[in-house]
Amino acid sequence: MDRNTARQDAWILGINSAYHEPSACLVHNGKLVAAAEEERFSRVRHGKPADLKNPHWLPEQSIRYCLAEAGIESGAITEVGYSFAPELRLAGNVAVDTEATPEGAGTIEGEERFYRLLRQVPQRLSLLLGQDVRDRFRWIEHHLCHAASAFFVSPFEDAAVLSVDGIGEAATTWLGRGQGNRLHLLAEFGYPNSLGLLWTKLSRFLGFGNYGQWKVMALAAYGDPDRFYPAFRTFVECDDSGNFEVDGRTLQFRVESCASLERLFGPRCGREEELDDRFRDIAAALQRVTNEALLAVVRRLKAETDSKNLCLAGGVALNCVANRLLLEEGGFEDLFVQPAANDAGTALGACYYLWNQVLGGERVETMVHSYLGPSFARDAVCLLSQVNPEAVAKASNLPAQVARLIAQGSTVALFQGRMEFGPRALGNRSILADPRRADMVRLLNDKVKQREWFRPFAASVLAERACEWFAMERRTIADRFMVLAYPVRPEKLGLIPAVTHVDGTTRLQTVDRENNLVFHQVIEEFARITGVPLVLNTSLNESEPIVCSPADALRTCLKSGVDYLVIEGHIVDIARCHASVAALLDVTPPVRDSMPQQQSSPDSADAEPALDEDVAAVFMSR
Amino acid sequence: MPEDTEMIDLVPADGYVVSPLDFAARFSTNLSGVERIFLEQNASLFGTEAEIPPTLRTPWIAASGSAGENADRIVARPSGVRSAVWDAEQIQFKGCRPAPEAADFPFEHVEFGGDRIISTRVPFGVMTAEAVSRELLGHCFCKTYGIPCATTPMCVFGYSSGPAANRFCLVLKLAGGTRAEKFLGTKPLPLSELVSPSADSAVFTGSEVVMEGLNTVWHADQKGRWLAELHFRGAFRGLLNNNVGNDVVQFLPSGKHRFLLRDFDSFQLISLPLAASREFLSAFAVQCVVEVVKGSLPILDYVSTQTGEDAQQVLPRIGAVYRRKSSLWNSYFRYARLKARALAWSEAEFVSATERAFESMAFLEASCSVILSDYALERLRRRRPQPYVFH
Repeated sequence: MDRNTARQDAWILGINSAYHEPSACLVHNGKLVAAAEEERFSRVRHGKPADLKNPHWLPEQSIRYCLAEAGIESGAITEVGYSFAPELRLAGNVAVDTEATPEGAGTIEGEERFYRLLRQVPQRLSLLLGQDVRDRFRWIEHHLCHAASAFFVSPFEDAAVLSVDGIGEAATTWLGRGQGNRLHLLAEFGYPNSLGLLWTKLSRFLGFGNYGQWKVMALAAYGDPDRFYPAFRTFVECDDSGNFEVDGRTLQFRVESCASLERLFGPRCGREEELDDRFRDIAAALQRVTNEALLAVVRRLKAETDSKNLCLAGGVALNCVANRLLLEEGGFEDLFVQPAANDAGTALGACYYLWNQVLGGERVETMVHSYLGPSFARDAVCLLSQVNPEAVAKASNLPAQVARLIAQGSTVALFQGRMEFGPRALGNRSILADPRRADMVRLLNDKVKQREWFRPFAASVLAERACEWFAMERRTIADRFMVLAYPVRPEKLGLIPAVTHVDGTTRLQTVDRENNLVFHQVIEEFARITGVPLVLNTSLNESEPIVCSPADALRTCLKSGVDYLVIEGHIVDIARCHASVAALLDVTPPVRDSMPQQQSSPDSADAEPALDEDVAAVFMSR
Repeated sequence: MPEDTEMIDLVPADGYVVSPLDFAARFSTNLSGVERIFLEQNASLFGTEAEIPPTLRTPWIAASGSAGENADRIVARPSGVRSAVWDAEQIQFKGCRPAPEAADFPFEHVEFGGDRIISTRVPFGVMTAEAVSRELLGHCFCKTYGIPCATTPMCVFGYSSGPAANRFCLVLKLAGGTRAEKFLGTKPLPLSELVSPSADSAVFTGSEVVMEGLNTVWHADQKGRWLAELHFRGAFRGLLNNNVGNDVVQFLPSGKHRFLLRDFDSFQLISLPLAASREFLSAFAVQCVVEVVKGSLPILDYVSTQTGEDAQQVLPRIGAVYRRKSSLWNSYFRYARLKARALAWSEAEFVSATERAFESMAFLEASCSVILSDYALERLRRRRPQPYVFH
């Protein structure tokens, strides 16, 4: 491939599919064009389970969307970055654990199978794109992609970079430094020393499954960290030098058993069991241990880099409690957390690793918002035409009308513009409500979101007034992404109970006029009516991924207790929608024109790898 | 009561001073059998006579006017309508302000197994022996089970002459902190003020009253937790003692808060059965529900009813609104179900008993102090104002 050509007009496709949160991202000459997670299209939470049997399930719809958004054919793609290095996984995981599930992770059989399936990815991608891209395909280390996703789109020329998640190939934590368009490794920690896996295992222990880390974090605020802190310290060690270790024999991550943890904490939480003080205290101690370990690592990074700035990525970087601690006590002046800090963000990181570090491209993008997904203005109009007219009103002054509805106690779903990239709804696929009403938490948790009582709701506040309401010693660009929890100012406590957690903090998004005008105007109007410059903001979904299309949005509103759907300049009164609308959505979910067919079925997961010759034959026949 | 209220003088009085330990032994005859036994078995938690500070070895009582600059006196801040607080020493004299002979105060309770709130009158200004005994019982109980209290009994004054003769004053050491009522933004207590001609209709937000400067999520969680802890050990603070004015919040240097209980003069203790019958659970749930409702923040909503509807028709609507909107109830109910299970009671039967409790007249009457309805309005027209007084 002609590198000079690529540098002049580089279309870089980034892909993540190795574990979970499969996603795709497209970058053109260093500019972020599109990014999306597969779960939004497939409507399967987290896209797929992290499983040795499915690394080759590609985010097909996300890839197609990215190309459609850019208006390019697959032939225009000059580079493909895949956020995983199969050889490193194979070399670094076999026979590490004393216990493993037969043919599971850590066994020779399991790891070799994972390797074989991963190696299919270039061919499968080529088949998908109708274009042999194997010569443009690069495997990139997982944590390098995380690190790249945080640093290369940050506003910093120089920063310490920390990536922390469950596991990449074999590494779980990556410490480095970003300078200009280069990343430098300082240190890595390997499996089983993993904060991410510690949270996953404790999430299972507490009865929340593999993806209950948010719940554990919320529950922690109700507990007493002192009770089980000594027990955690018997298997999670960290010291002032900035290292931490997790005893894999106690963690028993790769087996279902929790026997070692049960010896420390008592029986694991059963299905349907109420979370009593013991479970709350375990969660609280876990949060404290995590805070300490992260803080030690971040202080080490400060000592080794002496940089003023810190970039965070990896699933653990979505811990909004720890993030504020790192900002306040880590010794850095500024912080950037990439909004898709989970594995989905590695697709973005793969693009930028290639653009900046491999191709030597200039830094031309600062990620100031996450609105990188599809928009559906035309589909919205089509959909609205099918709703009975008396339920739909064209808004004459949309921000004022929406604000009034919220202030009157209604729940309003706001669907507009491009979908967010990352796990947070930041005003384009959001449910908004009045933060002053204490009962709103129960209403939303019980009726609309079907989730646990202890989970708090986040707030979106006018950026220019955030400091009036929240104890924000420093403002960071990361505040826009709802990745930090700030204490409500003492004099404001009690005024916004629906977004105040039991520990007096609020997970916060600051809203700037330039990044989301309509959302900013809605909050401005709400402030004019109530004196409170913030609204409750929760993602528009109900026990499923955040909605993608207008049909998803209307279906979710009809299923849940949301009162109004605001969609592309119209307000739909959900209670007045005829039953025929619901019936219509159940049988014919509209799909955007550019959306491709459904993802490969799980049944096809175990199919043997296609041969290279087969792929070549396909292309020759075209 | 505003904080800039005129100070009052406490002066030496005729009478005697006894330690909490001695008082419990000599005056707790009005308590039930189970209460007396509990007090006797745990009274060693109280201080003895030797621990009473010299200043308090003489009874003090509120002077009818100023005692004069040169008099032997303690300058104290009035608190409520019968107490005074010596701020410098963080000591409360509870029942040191004798009222005229006929002065009394409403006292509400539900008989165990009953379905109505019974309102009686009790002498006021000073304390009865039973009220002091119940205070001591409450403190003793909380200390035994690690339930945080805002006060510690120091001694008891027994007055022997004047209008306070044969009455008592309980002297308490204050742990510090702020009464939660201080955070009530709109100060809508008593509820009758909401429907006064001057009331602002905008006050009906449809949600609970705001507590400015206090995290209401935390407050409800803590109060619900400790109420469940009390109830499922067989203890009840009493309907009037459960109001927000008796919730104390300590602001710790770490930035965290601590929730403390105070005021136990209507504290009651019952023994809980190993296996709870349906009848027991029904009676128990009424006590629990009514106490929680009386301790809840007012809900600024209005439940309208139709002409001719009787109480039984109104009850479900008021109950539904209360349960949906009360933070305390929702917090309490979670803890209560855990406690029921911990006692090896049937959680389902306890839940069912609470459903029945919300259909009781006792709930309907209690709800009048936290949520407006036509029924509440009717009662407010007939009754004297609620006895709630800011401290």
